[in-house]
Amino acid sequence: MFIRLLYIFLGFMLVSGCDTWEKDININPNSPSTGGESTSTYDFEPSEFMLDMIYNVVHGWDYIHWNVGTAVCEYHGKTISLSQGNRHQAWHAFDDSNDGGPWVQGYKTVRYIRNMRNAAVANDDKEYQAIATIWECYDFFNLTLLYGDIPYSQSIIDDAPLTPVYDKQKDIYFTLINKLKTAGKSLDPTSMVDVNTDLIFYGDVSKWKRFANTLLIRYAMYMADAAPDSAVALLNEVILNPEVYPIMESNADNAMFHYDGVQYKSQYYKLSSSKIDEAPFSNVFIERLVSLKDPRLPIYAKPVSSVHDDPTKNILPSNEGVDKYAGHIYGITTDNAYASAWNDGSNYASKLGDYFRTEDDKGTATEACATVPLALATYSEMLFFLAEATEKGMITGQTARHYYESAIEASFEQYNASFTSDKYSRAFGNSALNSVTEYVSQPDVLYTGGRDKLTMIAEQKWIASFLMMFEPYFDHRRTMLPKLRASSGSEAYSSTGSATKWPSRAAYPNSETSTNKANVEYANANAFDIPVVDQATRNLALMWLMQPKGQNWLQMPVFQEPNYKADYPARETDADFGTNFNNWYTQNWNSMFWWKNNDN
Amino acid sequence: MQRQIPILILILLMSPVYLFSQQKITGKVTTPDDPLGIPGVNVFIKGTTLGTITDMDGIYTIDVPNDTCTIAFSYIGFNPEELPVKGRAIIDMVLLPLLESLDEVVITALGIKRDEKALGYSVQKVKGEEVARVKELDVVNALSGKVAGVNIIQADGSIGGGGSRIVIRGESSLAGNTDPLFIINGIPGSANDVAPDDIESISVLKGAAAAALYGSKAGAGVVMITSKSGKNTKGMLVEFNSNITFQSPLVLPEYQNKFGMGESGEYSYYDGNGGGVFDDTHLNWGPAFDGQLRPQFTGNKPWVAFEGNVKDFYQTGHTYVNNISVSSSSENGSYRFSYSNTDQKGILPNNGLVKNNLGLNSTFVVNKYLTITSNMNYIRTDCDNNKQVDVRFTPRSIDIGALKDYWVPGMEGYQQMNYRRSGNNPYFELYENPYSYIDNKLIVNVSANLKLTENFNIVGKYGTNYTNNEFYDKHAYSTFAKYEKRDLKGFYKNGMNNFWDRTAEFLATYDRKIFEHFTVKLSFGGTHFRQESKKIEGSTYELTYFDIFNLNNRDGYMSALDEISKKVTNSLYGFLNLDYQGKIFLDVTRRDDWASTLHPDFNHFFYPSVALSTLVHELFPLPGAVSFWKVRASIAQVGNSVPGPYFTIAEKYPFITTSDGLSHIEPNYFFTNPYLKPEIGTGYEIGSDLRLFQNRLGFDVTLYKTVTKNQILKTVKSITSGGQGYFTTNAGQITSKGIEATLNLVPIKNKDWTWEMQINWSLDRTYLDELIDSLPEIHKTQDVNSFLAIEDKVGQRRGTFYGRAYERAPNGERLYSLSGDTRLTEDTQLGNYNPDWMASFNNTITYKWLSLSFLFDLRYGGLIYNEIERKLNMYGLSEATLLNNREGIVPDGMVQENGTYRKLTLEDLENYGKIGGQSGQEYWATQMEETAPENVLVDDTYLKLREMRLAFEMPKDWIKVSFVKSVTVALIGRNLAVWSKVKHIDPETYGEATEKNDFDGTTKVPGYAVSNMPSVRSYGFSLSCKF
Repeated sequence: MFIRLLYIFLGFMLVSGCDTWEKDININPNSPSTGGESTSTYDFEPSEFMLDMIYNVVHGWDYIHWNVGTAVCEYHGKTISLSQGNRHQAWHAFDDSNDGGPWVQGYKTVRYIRNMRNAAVANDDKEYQAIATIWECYDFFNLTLLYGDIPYSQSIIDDAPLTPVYDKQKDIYFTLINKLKTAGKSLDPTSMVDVNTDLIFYGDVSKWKRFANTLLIRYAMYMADAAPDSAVALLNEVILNPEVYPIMESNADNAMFHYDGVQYKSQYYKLSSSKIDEAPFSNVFIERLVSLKDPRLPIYAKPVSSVHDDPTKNILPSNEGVDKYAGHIYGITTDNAYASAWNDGSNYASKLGDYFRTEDDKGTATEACATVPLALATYSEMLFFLAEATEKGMITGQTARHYYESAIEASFEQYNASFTSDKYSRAFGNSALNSVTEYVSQPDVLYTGGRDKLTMIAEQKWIASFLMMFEPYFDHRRTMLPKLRASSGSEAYSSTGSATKWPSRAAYPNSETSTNKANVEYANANAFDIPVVDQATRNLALMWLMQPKGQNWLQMPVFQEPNYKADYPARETDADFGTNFNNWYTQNWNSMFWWKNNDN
Repeated sequence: MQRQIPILILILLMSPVYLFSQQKITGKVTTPDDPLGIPGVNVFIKGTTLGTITDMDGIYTIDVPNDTCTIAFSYIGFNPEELPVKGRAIIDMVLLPLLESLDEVVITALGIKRDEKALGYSVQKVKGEEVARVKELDVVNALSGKVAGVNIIQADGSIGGGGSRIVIRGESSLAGNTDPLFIINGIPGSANDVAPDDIESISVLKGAAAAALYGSKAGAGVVMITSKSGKNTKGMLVEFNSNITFQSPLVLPEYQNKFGMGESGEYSYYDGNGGGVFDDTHLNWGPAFDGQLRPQFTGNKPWVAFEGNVKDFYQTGHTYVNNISVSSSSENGSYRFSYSNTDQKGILPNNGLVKNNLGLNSTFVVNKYLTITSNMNYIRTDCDNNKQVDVRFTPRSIDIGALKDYWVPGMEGYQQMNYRRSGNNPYFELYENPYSYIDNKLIVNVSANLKLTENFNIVGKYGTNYTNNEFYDKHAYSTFAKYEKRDLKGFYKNGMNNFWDRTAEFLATYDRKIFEHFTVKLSFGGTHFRQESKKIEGSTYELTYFDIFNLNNRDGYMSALDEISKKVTNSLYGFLNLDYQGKIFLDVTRRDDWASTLHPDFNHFFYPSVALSTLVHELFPLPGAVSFWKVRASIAQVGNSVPGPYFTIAEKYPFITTSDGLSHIEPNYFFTNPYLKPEIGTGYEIGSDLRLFQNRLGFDVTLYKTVTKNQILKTVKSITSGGQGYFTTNAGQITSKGIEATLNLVPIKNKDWTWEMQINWSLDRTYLDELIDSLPEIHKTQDVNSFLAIEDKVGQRRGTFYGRAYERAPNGERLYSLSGDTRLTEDTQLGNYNPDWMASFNNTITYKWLSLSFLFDLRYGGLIYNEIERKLNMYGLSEATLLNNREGIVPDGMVQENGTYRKLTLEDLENYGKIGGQSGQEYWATQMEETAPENVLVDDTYLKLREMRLAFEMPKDWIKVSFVKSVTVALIGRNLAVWSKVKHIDPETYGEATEKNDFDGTTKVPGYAVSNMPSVRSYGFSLSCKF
């Protein structure tokens, strides 16, 4: 009897098995699941990932484009030396330790992209699936444009290996182009996605569709040198099929990240007044805007707070109006104190304008600028691309001049830049223009006025693209137009940095070298036309996109940087200042400005 | 699953049990101590399986086939006896107790009682009376010095016990899990689930073979605690134990009393907020005491030292432990009921707790087949406050007594009064910012033992362990917190943790003689273990009403924690004990575990063991002096650090509370790894137990080696792998090697005198053998502070310090720059915190009714980073800071100039503007720089008088009252004295180091003295009565 009971008992134990427990016991009940590889148990709305997905990428660039991009592209002349954190040297190695670098944020976003796509697949939501893909393309285009070969195919998948391999830029590029095309096509322009979590288009799917197609134009132009036939084919596919590929039609279609001012505040709001003082506008940018009597000048920049009075001893603003605008000299490379001592410092230079940053008396940002949007892609940028493509004969249909002038006008409209505003007349006084027509008829702007057309397109695009993420940098690397100068002082950095060359790319971050060592080493050895083995080869190495350009492509014309003290504007407190200022000024000041040197 | 074992059992079960009878014999079994008869003695006919057991009065009746056979008697703890029948009908037997420590019975894995001689591995037993002798609220501390190879570092002197660091046979886990498994009456529990007076015995299963039957939980060793039962009680026994001890700090810093609060020799009080001269400093570099009136926080008072201001702050704490128990046994079973009350007052003002412990152990003999045992324990702890403050860095000029009225007059409830603003008044913290908790714990387990035949029995067991812990953390208005200004308007946290463990298990055992000389015992069992926990916690800053601590009383936001965790482990195990003539013993075990927390495809692990024990003295003729010699060897595998729930399946999005008080989800930075395995340790052990001169001298030595692979490591992953984060992986291998030796000596044993001595000695070396090489940068780092880390590198001993060392001249002297600044090397190895070896020395000397016992602990070698000393020096509090009367100091060291070395001189310093040399403040700031950890990294060798007891057992003839059976009174003390070169603190201490690559992980690190509390010395008396 007992034996029988034991049989039953043991039998029961065997049958019941030993790894039986509730199926979900090891599924964390404390927080929602992203589902990972399994999409069937998905308990998310795709919209829950949208904001994080977008903001992470934006956040990866929003400080750096201001702190690094503006100085590299000569919008800003820093009162701290450019060798510190900027063009000639250190910007190759973006500091990704503080959560801010494009690499960190760009890859952090991958999780959200993946999760949003998985949620969208689980919910059978075509719109969110396509938006996830568009964002994936935008993110990885940015990353590959900056770094070259990067982990992509093993990074974007659900079960990413711990050490993803690096894909060839060419492969990434074409994969993304195709994905972007497909995603854009699959969007139903009459539908909406969640309004509250879409801080770019507020749920308007038709605008997402236009954004995707407009990006195709941008990325086609970026590969125009590396894959000219593909670029032409892609451009024409888009331009000639507006039903399939609707593109931006006005500034209303601009892709802008709208900070909500609460959880997400604009970088221009977050900057301290000392950071603002460190980055006044460059003399190059201000002088160009002044010389073109550009209505965007009083929008981009604030008037200076102090003005010198003796042009033989100091730099004076050159605009005619009552509000004076001046820039800080671009390119001082040696020392922070030297950089800030120029012309008595930042009070004599224009700083970030009211459009981006309104301030109280103490120089603190007001709440109003917490919501200043960040431009990711604009109608005017697109028109400039089309002007260039037409000029180069890649597309036909409209004239290049039409695109060019429309682009300028679109930029004015984007910034609400008016020839009749009080600020404009205070900036230019009697020399003020009266209309866009007058503006585009000026000799330096007139499309048929004899200047090099590609230079004019690039110059106007440079002005219009101010603070548009890293596009001015990517664009200039491609065209090297207009002919921005490097300072002679930067030559000292030839062993460690880009020196007088335009920087070719950013180096892979240290965190990546320590966690994915073998693959980084492989990429450094194989990703570029020459192996990257040291700091010198780092800047010479060209990525696939720049293949036919040749080693001297990135060389910039050089201007003579003023020597500290003697060549500097005079200073009352220090007799050593300004003894040679006039000399330097006469010989070199204008050499910084391509438009004054017949450089097309 | 392993199917062979049950099938084998079934086959064995079918062998017929053969019964026949011819003649009845009866008799009574007694012992010299117990002439009334002892129940439960095995009585059987030699050479057969026929037998019976004695009843409650020690009476047995047995049928014998013929009168030429022999009757054998056996009982645990007594010498087995045999008597031929020779036609007798009544055979009485007096069993003699086994000589002490010979044929000792120990509790082994799964609670099985075994003769120690049959074990092929080392198990060290600590008797309940040794634990209860000088009571400790933390049972772990009571093991200190009593078990070789167990490295215990007691927690500081805060109340409540618990928190001591225990490491058995080396730090073999990178995951940091060094806590052994505690088994309380057969089910997993925690160390202090049984009141010390209720402990029958503690068995420490140190190695893999001993613990193999606990499978994946056994890697760090197992401590088995068995509580007393009523079994073996004659009639009714009432015991009363009272233990009254007092606590005071064991070591307090040695202070200077010549200079007071301030900096650069200056101080005067204005508002304690920097309004005066250095009146918001925490430093003691102020003016020399001169007795002159000087503005201080107490008013314009003489400038004098308050020499006792630290010592006087601590009060004498007390611990009263009273225990009463009633036990009884009869033929129907037995019971023991006990009640313990602990009342503790800490050495800090307003610190205290009360603990009540109710226990009931009972056994019912239902019939000759079935016995039911149950075990119940209810423990409630009420701790009003165990807030800790550290007053040891109070400047010498502070009259600490004047801080007792801790409110600013007129601002009661709103603003505390202190001698400086950026810090809290210690009395304010203790009285207004209490941390309190209530623990309720219920442990119940019931088992049924079904003895189907003489040879076969089956035990089923169900146990549950339920703990509820509530806690409250309050900060009054004006609490100063370094990084959290919101505390100024108060803070409140209220939380509850529930833990619920359930264990169901069975064990079937078949036991018989096979062939002529072999006895085989075959067992098969299984366990289902389920653990659930729930945590709820709410906290809020900025209280609206200053005096209401309620989560609704908030101006700011509330953050909440709400967490459930569940896991299940199923196990099957089988084992075979083979006994050749009581001379050679072979144990083979196997356990299979299935863990719910692992990925379904990788959740099964099995853990085998083989152990062999040979009694050499039984096999070979040995010199007469040798009374016992056993050699043993074993090899086994066990697991450790099985990943907890939710580590292996789908990543998660935890909720994050943002600064606006709203909650949203964020991606978890922690990435799951489905392939994660437990750490697997393979243990090899050999040992010898030699006893000479009728057991007067015993020497037991064990050599072990444990190789633990699959080391679990948490590390940063490439952000390109699906986003930012950390991941956990099986990354390496650790080897521990060591020796444990125990010497037992009875130098004197005669009618009046006994002197028993035990020396334990152990040595352990644990090295990291390898780490996976696919990720070259990964290694484990624990940060002691920003400048000192404990790093694990391949080929290196665990516990190695890394930091910058002082540069040294060729003659070994320290090298300075010409300006007198310290020169440091790059990061380098600075030594190790683990001891070279440890020893303890335990003595009991008995003279008639008087007995004296004392226990010394010795730890030799290893380093400790003495943060307390560093601060005392840097703040100008220690005697050392009187150097040169605090002026004109030239650091004693060398400089290097033009390639030659020479002494640093005053002239050098003056060349750099240090006219007259360095001031004391400058000098000590340089010498005690945190960047140079070498300055306070000192030898942690210490000798400690751990325990002492002088007991008087009242002779029986003194006791006139007939119902009193015995009375013992004793003077007792713990932690009485320590000898060491470590300054200002008890060298036995640990700190918490931060795990790098982890968000909030910390590990107890022995070589780091940072605790807020001094440890305590405890002394008092005890009374023990039996009725």
